[in-house]
Order: sequence, then structure tokens, then C-alpha cells
Amino acid sequence: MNDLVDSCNIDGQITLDKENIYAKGVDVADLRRRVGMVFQKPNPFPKSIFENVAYGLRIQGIKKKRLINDTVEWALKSAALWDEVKDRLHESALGMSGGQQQRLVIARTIAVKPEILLLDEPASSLDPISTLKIEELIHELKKDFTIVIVTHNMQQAARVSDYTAFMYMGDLIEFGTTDQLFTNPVQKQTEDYITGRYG
Amino acid sequence: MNITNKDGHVGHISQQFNTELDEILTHLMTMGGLIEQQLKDAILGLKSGDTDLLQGAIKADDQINIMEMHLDEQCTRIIARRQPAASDLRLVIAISKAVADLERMGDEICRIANSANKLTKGFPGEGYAQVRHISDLVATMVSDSLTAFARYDADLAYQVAKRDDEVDQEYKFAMRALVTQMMEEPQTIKQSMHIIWILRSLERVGDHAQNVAQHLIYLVKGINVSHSSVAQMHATLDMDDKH
Repeated sequence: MNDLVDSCNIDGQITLDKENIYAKGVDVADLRRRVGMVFQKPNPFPKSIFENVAYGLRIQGIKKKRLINDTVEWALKSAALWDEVKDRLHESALGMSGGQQQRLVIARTIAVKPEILLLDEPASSLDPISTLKIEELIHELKKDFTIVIVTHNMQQAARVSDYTAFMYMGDLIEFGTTDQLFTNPVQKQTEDYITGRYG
Repeated sequence: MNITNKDGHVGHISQQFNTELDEILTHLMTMGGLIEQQLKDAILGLKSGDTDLLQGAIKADDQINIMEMHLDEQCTRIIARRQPAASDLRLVIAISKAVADLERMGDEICRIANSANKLTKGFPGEGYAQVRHISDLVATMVSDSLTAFARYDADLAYQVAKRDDEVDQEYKFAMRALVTQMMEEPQTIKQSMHIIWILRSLERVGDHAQNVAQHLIYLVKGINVSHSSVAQMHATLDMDDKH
């Protein structure tokens, strides 16, 4: 993805199981399966709810109907969406509310059982109730997945995470347990930011 | 991150937030001033038998209780509206806890004044020296704990905690002396019991002053030293200083 942006400049390494993900020979398709991504704006495919979730499985070549059905149900249940959509699985995903669409996208992502979930501002375009549902979902999913969430909402970071990294203008300023970072940060810049002193 | 003075709580984008934090700190200091005066009156009244001073100490408790409620409301409002973090959060929590300790000090001082009012026959043989000694120690502890809060002085707060051990020790000696006296001179039992209640309340005031000092250490250093012995506190604070 970075190759598409001319001005993109990368320092350091991102390693997954000690392997640099930018190393030559890394299978990008496999990397994408291992790292699921959810973005700020819900982006369901213009397909049915069921097909949205089954999509990743189908492109992996899985054809067993029973396996697909079971996985879709598991993913929708894990995304706390099953009870709301079980009677309209074959209706268009585009008819769902914003909060439901975002949970559907999360269901689609976890259906292929990734190891890591990258959530980039997953609740920033949602109303407070949908936001709390997503946060509750993150709380449940973190038992099974490693979740990396980007958020500008400090209270959200404090609520949902175990560890927090504070980044400013592309630099990592501080990393620590969420409890420590929000009660007694080490860096002044972190202190100033989380206490609202940045002008 | 350690915080060294109250200027650490200014500079928010929201000026109103700066004012709100400054207000709770100022109100805490005002409440502390009332407690200091109340304790001074109670002790002087006790030593001299001046019932006006004792009455004044008892009356001061009403105002202290009102201030406690007011400060509690202010802290709750800040938490609800500002969701403070880091040193701001520690300030609100430390003040909210210190307020509770100050209010309890007020109650104990009231008890001292009430017991002093009942000492119509003056001090029994034992008691006066102990009361004078312990009350001096406790008054210094109260005053130092408030000064530590005003100056964000964790070292002074540590000294307050250290002095509490001395008070506890003196309290034990005094108890022993009074018990002996009651056994030897049963006619002094009633008076001695009043002295015991007074000493007990003084000792409790010292405990609350120690708590206030510990809340200040939490505010400044971000380390919770409640229930730590003086030795543990010394080790923890030293360790922190080296970082």
C-alpha cells in the first residue's frame, strides 16, 4: 500500500513473529490474512450481509458450505451482530446502520481468523451508543486476537487498551501500560497532550 | 512524571479548567487553615481551661463540614466534565482524599474539645505533660502536611509520615502511665479516661495528617505510599529519585 504513495518514508521495522514484514519474499497475501484491517469509515461490499462475511473465506478457496455457514455465524456472533441480522442475512449490507456496518466489517475481518486486528479510528464516525458497542466488542475480541487500535479519543484509548503508545507527528513519544500512561506518564509531551495543554 | 509545583496545573487550552483546578487547591488550603486554628484553639482551651476557646473549636466543625461537601462537589464536577488525566487526575484524587482526612481531623478535634469541657477538675497527676508533648507533635504534623501540600514538597511530607511513628510511640508511653495511675489512684479514673480519649483523638489527628502527606506524595511522585511503613516509603521514594 505504501508503494502507492511517493512521499512515504519509513524508518525502523515492523516485525511479525520476528520477521520484518517488508522483507523480500514475504507473501503479501498471507500477511494480509494474518493482519486484518478495519478503517474509520465502514466499507461493506455492495453484497448481502452473509456474502460480506463469507468473502474472505471464498477467496481463500473454501467451498464447503457447512464450514462457510458456521464461520459466518461465528464471526457475526463474535462481532455482536448476529441477533440483529440473523433474519436478514441475505439483504444488502448497505441497508444497515453505520454502527452495524462497522461491526459487519469487523465480522468480515475476523472470519478469516487473523492473528492481529488493526483498527484505525473504528468508532470515530459512529454515535455514542454504537461506539460503546464497538468498544465492548474490542474488549471481547482481545481475548482471541491481538488488537492495535488508532484513536484520537483519549478516553477511548484509556477505556479499551492494555498498553498505549503516544505518537506525535510521526514520532513515538512514549509507550507504556495504559494505567501508567494515563496516571503518571514519563514524558512531558505525553503529559501535556493527555491533559489538554497542546495549543 | 513528577510534578514540582502548582504551576504544573496551568497551561491547559481551557482557561476555565486551569481556574477550576486552582480553586480546589485554594479551597483545600483554606479548609486546612481552619483545621489548624481549630486544633490550636482546642489545645489551648484544654491547657488553660478556657471554655470559650473550646466552644469555638466545636463550632468550627460546622464550617469544616460545609467546606468538605463543597470541595467534594467541585471534585466530582471536574471528574464528570473534564475527565482529568495524569497529574491533573492525581491532583483531583489527592484533594478529594485529603478533604476526607481533613474533615475527620475536624471531628477528632471536636471530640478533644468536648472531652476537655468535661475535665472540670483539671488534669490528674499524670497526663498534662503527655498531652502537651503529643499535642505539640501533632500540631506540627498538621501544619507541615498542609505546607507540604502548598509547596508540593514530598520531602516534607515524608518527614510528616516519619513523625507519626514518634506520636504512636509517645501515645503508648502515655497510655501506660495513665493506666498505672488509674490502678494506683482509682479516684482519678474519670479524669484519666477523659485524658485517654483526648490522647486517642490527638493520635488519630496525627494519623490523618500522615494520610494527607501520603496523598501529596501520590500527587507529586505518582506513587501510592498508603499503608507503607516509613522504611518502605524511604526505599520507594529513593528508588524513584534515582530514575
